[in-house]
Amino acid sequence: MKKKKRIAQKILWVLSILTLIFLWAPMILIMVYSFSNSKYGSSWEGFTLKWYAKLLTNDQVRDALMRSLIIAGVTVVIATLIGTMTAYGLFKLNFKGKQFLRTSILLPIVFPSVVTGGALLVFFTRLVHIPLGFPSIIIAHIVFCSPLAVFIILGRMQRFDWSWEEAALDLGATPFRTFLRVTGPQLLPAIMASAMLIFPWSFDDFVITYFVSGVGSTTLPIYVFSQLRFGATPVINTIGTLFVSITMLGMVLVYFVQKMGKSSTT
Amino acid sequence: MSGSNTRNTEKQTAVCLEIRDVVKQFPGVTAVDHISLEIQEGEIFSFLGPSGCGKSTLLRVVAGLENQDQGDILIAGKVVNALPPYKRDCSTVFQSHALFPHMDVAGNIGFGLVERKLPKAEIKERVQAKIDLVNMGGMEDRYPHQLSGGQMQRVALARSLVLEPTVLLLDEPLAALDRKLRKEMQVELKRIQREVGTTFLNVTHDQKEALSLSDRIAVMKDGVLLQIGTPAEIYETPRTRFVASFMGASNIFSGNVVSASDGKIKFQTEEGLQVILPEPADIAFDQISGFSVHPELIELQPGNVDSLAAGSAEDMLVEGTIQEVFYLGDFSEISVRVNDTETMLTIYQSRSCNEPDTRIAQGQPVVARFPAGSMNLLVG
Amino acid sequence: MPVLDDVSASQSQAQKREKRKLALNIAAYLSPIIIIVIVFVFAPLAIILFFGFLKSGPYGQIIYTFTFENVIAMLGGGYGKIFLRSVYLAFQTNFLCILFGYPIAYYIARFGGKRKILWIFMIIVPSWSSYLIRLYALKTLVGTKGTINTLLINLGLVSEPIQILYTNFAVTMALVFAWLPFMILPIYAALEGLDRSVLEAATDLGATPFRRFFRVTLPLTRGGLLAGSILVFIPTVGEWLVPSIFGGSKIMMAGSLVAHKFTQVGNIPQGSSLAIMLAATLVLILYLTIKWGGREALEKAL
Repeated sequence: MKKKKRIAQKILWVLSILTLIFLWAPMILIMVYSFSNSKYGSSWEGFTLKWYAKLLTNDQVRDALMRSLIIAGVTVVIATLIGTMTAYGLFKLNFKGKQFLRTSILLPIVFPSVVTGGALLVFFTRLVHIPLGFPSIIIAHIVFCSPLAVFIILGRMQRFDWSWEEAALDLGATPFRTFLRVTGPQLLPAIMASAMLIFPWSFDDFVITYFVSGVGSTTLPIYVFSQLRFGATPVINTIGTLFVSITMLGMVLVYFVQKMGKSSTT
Repeated sequence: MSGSNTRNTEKQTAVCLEIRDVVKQFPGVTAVDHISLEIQEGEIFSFLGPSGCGKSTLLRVVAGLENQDQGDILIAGKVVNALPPYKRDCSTVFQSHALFPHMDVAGNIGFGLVERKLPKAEIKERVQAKIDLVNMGGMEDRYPHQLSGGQMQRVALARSLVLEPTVLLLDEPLAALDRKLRKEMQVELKRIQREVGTTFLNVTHDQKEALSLSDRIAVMKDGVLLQIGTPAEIYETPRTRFVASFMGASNIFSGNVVSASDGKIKFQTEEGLQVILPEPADIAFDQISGFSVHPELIELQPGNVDSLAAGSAEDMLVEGTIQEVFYLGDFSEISVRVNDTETMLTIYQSRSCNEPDTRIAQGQPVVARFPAGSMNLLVG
Repeated sequence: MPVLDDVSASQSQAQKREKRKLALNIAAYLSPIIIIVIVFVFAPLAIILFFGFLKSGPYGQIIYTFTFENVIAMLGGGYGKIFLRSVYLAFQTNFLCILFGYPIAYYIARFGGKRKILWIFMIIVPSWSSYLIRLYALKTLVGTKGTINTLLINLGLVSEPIQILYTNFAVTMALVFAWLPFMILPIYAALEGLDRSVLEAATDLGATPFRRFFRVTLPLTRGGLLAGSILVFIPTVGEWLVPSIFGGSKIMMAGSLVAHKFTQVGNIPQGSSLAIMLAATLVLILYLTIKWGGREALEKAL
């Protein structure tokens, strides 16, 4: 019996490692090549950091990077705020149509990006006339990032013991003070986690941004796309490596924030 | 605002909490069904009943955490219906103690005082006093996840008491503790209450806890108040079938009154047994539906009626056969089947050093003697 | 009589108060998201629904005449085929993701032990990394001048580079590469949530591990499979980047068609009707899956 289990375990282990290799190999390759001295960025010809140096002097890249950072920053703040309020409302209140609202909130993240991107483009140009560029991009990002915040924070909320809120009320704190002194601190890890997950999502987004950005508002992903037609280039390798590193950093931070949150909860 | 300042020492039995005809309904169930009662200042009052009887709901209505559909709550004579929980002069100790995980013991206890915007020095002083009161000295800096269940409950208690509320509400505070700890905490609770003198309103499903802790008990079932009284009254003279069996009077006989004379009534049970009981002062004869007897009051003697030692003429004697003996150490639980019937009696026999020869055994014919004072009339 | 009236009056007054408090609360907490959903989700969808039924001029501008011609054009002919192919590829991807994703999810849940977090980290990072970059990276790997080909040539295994790109195989592989993590995570979440004692009971009652998997484990993780399917199937149907990068103009999917119509050609009515069809199909699928209890699993996975 035990032998069978161990064989199965080994087989599964091999399969898992293969799957991981499948998922990671391309990106590891890119990261390696970003340090390669090859002009085409698709083979290894010695170690160098020159592509990273070149990146810093590239104006186009700098502009795009700034734009992406600003958009992501604004989106994170607003989406997290909306997400927290919505999660609180959904958790506490019960009303007809709540299920419908919950499902509707899911739509932006589940629909293919082409559909939401196309729909928003038409909406911005034909109906509401919001200028394409920062306004349209930021709005679009908020639309598809808020649901993420909602569900992350809602998920945390469902694991709480809310009798703390009643205790605070009972001890003389108004609902506002209760949120300030009790609920808020408890939710902070989840809020931080959602902020750190939304940032890469907004920063990396391509399809929707491409649709609603109009002319001249190049974000970093759009820049990457425009370079893609040239095949592999070292520039993209470096940018790609940065992207992946940012995401990994974000994930690590999220993990530690969650851990901190857990140690103060029993 | 604090109870100790406004306590009127001249009026010994002031009503500090009044519940007036309160109704609370949830979809499909009436949790509190027209309940009215008054709670005296300084007493420990318990709501006792099985789960789902509405006792917790009633407590939450008093605290303001739920709003009643009908009726009034008056604390210290003031109607508080419209007041939110943070403005009512009562404080709740929750079953899950509900300590704030991100604050230490001192922070938790001082929470309400901070809300009252008291100066820091005074807060520190009052918090320290309560920490000593509940024997948590030296633990001010600990966080809830570093405390044991009993310690957490004590902090919760201190946190509520430091506000000196008119009424302290306890929602099954000991239910989550293990038996040994529960007993210790019961002793602690009583000591603390005697020391601070605050009115305690306690909710529990544990009969023993209610009996040992309370000055008065209200037994509830399905949102209705069945009986209010002192522990002795509830235990020794339960009024209804449910209260009797809930308090452990496992022997309940149904029947009716067949005749009455000279201040005595003759009661006949469904099994055909007849017993003579003193005439009750406050119950009409046709309302008497039966009587109950606690298992520890019944005496067992082997043999049959004829071989019996003499007893009072008003004792009831029943012949039966022992079905099963459960040895529980300090006492034995004996079930006896009444001859020619399906009725089962439950009898507790204490362990004693006398009469080692009269060991009770299964299958033995016995006589159960119900002493005159052991039979308690039931209504409804 | 008067007493009863008073009672019912105060009752309905209290109820009215409660209702108003509820409405206020809803407005306070949920108005932003409600605005977003109505203005930026439903309204745009309604617009393109509307536009789908308009005529499109020779240069692709919109002529405000009501017509079915765009819808019909989308349904029939080559476009219909593309649409069907997209659905087929989505099913295929979904199935492959389950096939490849379940083993690793199972391994991590069951045998992961202390390293579980590390494993999950290794799965989450690809799923959260820039989609574009991942696809680009894969392309680098499999292109004619790419790493695999270079390696094979250097090792002398082939004399000419293998054409991997612009084939059906490439598209499928890229789709699975892109969406596999999104299937692994919900399955893992579902497996983690299993009550071990249920599995032990099954073994105790005589089920071999093999049978136990199919009779107990798999059904119990149905929620995870559904959630993963939502996360994989729906975006895949509307895929644009993968077919355009890995399939070129030879292999088109619904998404690339929509993108094409919207941006390059500027034929908004056509693009709209296609998008609406896409959206409608997906809404239907979403609705069905949610009915089968997928939503809770989806939220849990997040």
